[in-house]
Amino acid sequence: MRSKIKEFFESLFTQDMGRQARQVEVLTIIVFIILLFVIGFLWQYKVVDQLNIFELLLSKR
Amino acid sequence: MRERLKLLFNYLQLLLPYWDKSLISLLCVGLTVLFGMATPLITKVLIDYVYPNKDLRVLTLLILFGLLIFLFDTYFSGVAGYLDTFIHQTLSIDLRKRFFTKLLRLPLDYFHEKRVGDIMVRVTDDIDAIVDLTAEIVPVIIKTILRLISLLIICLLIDRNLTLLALLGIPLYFVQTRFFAKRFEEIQERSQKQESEIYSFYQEKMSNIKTIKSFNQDIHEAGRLIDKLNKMFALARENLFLGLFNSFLDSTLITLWVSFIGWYAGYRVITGHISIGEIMAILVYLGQVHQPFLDFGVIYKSAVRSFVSINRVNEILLAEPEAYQDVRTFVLYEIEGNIRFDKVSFRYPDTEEYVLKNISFDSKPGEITAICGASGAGKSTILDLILRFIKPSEGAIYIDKYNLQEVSLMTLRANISIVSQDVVIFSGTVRENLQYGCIHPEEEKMSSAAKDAEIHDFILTLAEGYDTKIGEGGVGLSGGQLQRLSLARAFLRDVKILVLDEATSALDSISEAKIYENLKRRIKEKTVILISHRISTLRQADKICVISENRISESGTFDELLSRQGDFYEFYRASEEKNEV
Repeated sequence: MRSKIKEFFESLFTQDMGRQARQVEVLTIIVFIILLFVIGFLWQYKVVDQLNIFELLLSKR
Repeated sequence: MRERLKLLFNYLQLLLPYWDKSLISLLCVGLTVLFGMATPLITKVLIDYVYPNKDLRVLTLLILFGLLIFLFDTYFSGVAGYLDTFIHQTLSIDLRKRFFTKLLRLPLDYFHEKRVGDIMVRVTDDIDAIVDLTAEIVPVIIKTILRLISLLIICLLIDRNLTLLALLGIPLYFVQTRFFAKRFEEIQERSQKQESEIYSFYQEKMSNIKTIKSFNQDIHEAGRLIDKLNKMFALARENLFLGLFNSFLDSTLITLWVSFIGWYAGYRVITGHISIGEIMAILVYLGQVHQPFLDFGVIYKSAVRSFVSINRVNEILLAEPEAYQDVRTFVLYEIEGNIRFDKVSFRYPDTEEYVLKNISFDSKPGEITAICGASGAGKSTILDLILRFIKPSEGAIYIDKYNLQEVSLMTLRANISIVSQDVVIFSGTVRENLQYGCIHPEEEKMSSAAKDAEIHDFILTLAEGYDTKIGEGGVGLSGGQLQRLSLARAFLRDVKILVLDEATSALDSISEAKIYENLKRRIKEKTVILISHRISTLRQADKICVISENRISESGTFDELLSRQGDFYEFYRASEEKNEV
């Protein structure tokens, strides 16, 4: 598993632009999934008065 | 407008192979737009809630939230930039390849009509403009629309009245952008034409530098260039003034609009309709509202420029190519090499005068058939007809039993080797030049061809032998050496038909005789057509066709023609007087 992760990150610096672009795509999808989890967590987390951070930002006053 | 959108849509289809990358890039762009919306909202909460309530916990959470957004924003905007560059570069390679391939397949007439400089501008600047538009228009439009929608939703949530008032200024912006775009397009069209003219001028002068120097025309030519550059400068100035006026009007409209909104926003705070935090946020957002419009303006102007380029590039991409590999044509796979001209006449389109009239002759394998005649008699036109650069106006040419117009062009040219009077050497090594057009070049065959062309010994004297660089930036070769190299290249291709157009004109008679001796050994089953007006060359032929007043006036062997005392005899006598015999 560790060697696979190492191989993945090494291929990000390959000279083959096509392969590099594919790896960037894969990495971006992973980061996007992480972002969704972060948003999910923040949605659940009440910052103040039962409001999550998004509700707080968009609340009037 | 619909026609233009159709044109643009055709080019946007080039993005289809990169749909996955485009999609991810658009996702990243969308996310960065949304991340950009966060900061004014954080400021609003800080002013309206955190500072008045002295809430340290919420303050810490908001700062951490801001940092998190910064991290994601940096990553996604980096990826969007990377993927956009990737798509941009790959698209550029695709389009250039498509354009160049098409260019090489256009009939020769096309290159007579268009100047090289004009084609160069199309292949560089015009393609760049199209790639810029195709690769950038979709992300910019999506980004702009998304940013506008997000801004409007947030602004409407904060204060509906203020936002609706702010929207009233939008149509005014579109009217003035459209007004200027039309003028920009007109200037762009004239600039591109002028640029093509300057490129053509440079290309023509650089190709004929010897003539310019020998006629002492350097100062005169520089003057002509300055005239052209001045015209270009005038257009650039016109473009600049229009651009400045456009920017001034843009900024004035936006400033007036934002000032009015600013006053009204202040009024709303004073009258207690919105809080200070909200006014801070909404003013930042309304300040950003003009950005999508400016982006639209930039892309609109870029599109206008690119549509001029699209039309110029399409002129070539949509031009009728030579029928290289038409399914309705015969494939010349294994031929004997008999060539027959049957009452062939040729005249250029739109002219009444014939270059060749009623030409008939046969040329068989193992035979050297010479075509001779005075300069301008139409000798080289025969070569163009055989290679199907042009087609007969009347009559037909046959290779074996096949009419030349009905055979596949690709296989026709694969069976013909040509040494033309204008020797062309490409930048590269001697080896690369010799092997040009060879499918399976063998070292031994290459040196044998070079020996028969009497150039092998010379090549060995070069610093790196066959690997010496010649052509542009390499070793310079004399006219005679270039002709020998060109002959060696033709010998190496080892095809059934060999056409020599004044191929030994720069050689002395002794070298020429040696080369023909070698050639005769090589051509046992090949057909050779020789075009020349040199008596020493014509002596080598088995049969000579004399062209006079655009027709074949007589034909026969060298001795037969001399004994007839006709046109060829006159030609021989004239050469004798010039000591050419």
